[in-house]
Amino acid sequence: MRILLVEDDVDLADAVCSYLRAKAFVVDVVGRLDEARSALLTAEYSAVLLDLHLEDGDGLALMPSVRALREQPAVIILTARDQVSDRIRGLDAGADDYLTKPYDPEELLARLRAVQRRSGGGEAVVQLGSLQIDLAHDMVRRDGVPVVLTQKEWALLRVMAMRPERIHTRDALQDALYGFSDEADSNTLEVFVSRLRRKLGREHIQTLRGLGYRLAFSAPAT
Amino acid sequence: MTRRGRPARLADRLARTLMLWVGGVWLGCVVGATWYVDREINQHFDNEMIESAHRMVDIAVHDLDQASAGGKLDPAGLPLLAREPIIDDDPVIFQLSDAGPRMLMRSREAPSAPFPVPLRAGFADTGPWRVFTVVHPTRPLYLQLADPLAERREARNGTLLGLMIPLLAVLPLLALMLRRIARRELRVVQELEGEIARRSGSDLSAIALDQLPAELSSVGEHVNRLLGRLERALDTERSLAANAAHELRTPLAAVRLRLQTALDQGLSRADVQASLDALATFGHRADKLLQLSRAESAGSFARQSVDLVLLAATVAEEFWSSEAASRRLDLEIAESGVLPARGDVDSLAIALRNLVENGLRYGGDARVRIEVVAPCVLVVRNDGPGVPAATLETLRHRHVRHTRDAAGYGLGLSIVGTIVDKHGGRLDLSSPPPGHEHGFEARITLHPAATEAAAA
Repeated sequence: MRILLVEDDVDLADAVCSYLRAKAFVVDVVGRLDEARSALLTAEYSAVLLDLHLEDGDGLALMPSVRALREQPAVIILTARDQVSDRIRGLDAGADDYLTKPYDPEELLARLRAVQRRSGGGEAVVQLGSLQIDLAHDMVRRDGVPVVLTQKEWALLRVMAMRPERIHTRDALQDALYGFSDEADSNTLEVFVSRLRRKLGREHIQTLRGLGYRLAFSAPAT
Repeated sequence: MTRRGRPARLADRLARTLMLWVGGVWLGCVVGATWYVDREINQHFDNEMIESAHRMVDIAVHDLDQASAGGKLDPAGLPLLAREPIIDDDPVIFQLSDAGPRMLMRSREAPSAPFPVPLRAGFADTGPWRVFTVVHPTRPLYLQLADPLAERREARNGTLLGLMIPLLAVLPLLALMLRRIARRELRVVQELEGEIARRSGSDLSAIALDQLPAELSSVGEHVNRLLGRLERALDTERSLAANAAHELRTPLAAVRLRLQTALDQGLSRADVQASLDALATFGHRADKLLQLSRAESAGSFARQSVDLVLLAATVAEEFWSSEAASRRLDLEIAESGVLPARGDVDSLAIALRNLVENGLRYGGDARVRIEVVAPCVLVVRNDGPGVPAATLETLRHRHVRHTRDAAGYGLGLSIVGTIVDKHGGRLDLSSPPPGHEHGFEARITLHPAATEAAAA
């Protein structure tokens, strides 16, 4: 897995580089936005680790160049800016993840593994309490027993299981269903969610009013 | 203190404006008075002319008849000269004509040419004269009495001058007086200016307000409030510097010792791991201190409208990224009625993050739940062991640590307390929460953004 590290602090860049190389990643390091732009054009990356405070500008200025690529790498922002508004801004700009300095190296590794999982390589099993979702083989087990899902139900679950930490908006989930039918009216989503709940256990899909749905570990004891 | 290049003094500006207005109004009054006096003078002179004309017509016709009977009329037809009046201080100017018109008689001062006005009863103006024509009641004879207009003009100008001279004399005096009064009354402004100028980093004492008039007193109050905030901010900075030194240097010292030991004794795993742990503590404390400094030094938080649902969701997602937290943290949002709160999204996020962190850290293995409750309430609750009632009171004080492991535990809650205070909100801590057997609940009640908009 090839990674582009955009970081202008030489010491930190060195440290991240040797850590990730020791974990068998291929890492290229650049210190400036313009270098990053040309690097994106010369090699195909699975992930970009992006510092926001760069000497020639705001790291988010790189986002349009990333989006213009045919094979878009995942972007993980690594920054000292820990304000929640910065985080919202970064995710709105299209970043996939956001880590604040000083981050735990293991945390960084976990995020990169998640990117790997989403791009189809490596481990692809999400364990949610009694639920085991195998993304590589399109398999779900509840208490070890395989659950049979229709294509649409699976499409919905896949979107949520790819990013179990996120709240998934109705729009994003509806997009997942869109490819399957032309009669995708607004009730369709609720119908499929309730079918999924019946098959996987009510407690595993939480509704958040006004926001969307999320996969939950187990029943909140209310 | 040099005055060169400074803007004009307030007192002088005030005096100048007042003078312009007083002078203007006075001038207006003079013009009005002149108009009135002019009218009165004209009326008075006209009345006199009418009276003398009526008197003169009788006398003149009588004299003309006597002259004509005595054959004293000029054979060439030149008009007869009227008799000299006995008292000759204000000569009467008249001409007596018949319907011809032929001038039959004139007074000595009257011009020999007839007045160029028609022979009709009433007033008419001609060049330097105002002429009044009166018709004899029984015979076709006309008496024309003339009065020089210059006389009236003189009378009017005299009056005008009499009014203007005192004005011109008094205005400069008035100007001086107004300026003196304005300067004296505005001296308090200068005094206040001096007081404010004397304040500096070493003297932030409040300004005495009892001598000041209402408007300035409120200015002074604002300045005092500003000074107060500045002083508190400086205090925070000082105490933070002192605390930071302690909080940060201790774990750093530990790291150095551990690493040195590791180097000296062949890189033992335990020593390196311990350095990592000490560094984690260091990082955590640095975070807390940064947050505290942000929370305390901010005078007042940006008053935006904050979507509490989005805020809670963003903070929850941050924690859900780690699997351990994801297992234990729930988010619950009220079905309806949640309003946007007035405040600053970043500092509220810091507060919420601290509460969740505390819940995850000290709640044992219990679940932690973020709730967004209508209208503007954020609740963080855990069903852990909770804290004893006596501890609950001291929790909000800075640097109170309750367990050995509790890096910045009390610091976290005091950050939350500061942020909530600056939002004008309320932080309620309860253990166990109402309706629960055990656990700990922190409840932040904020003001809805909508009420402010409605009140404004």
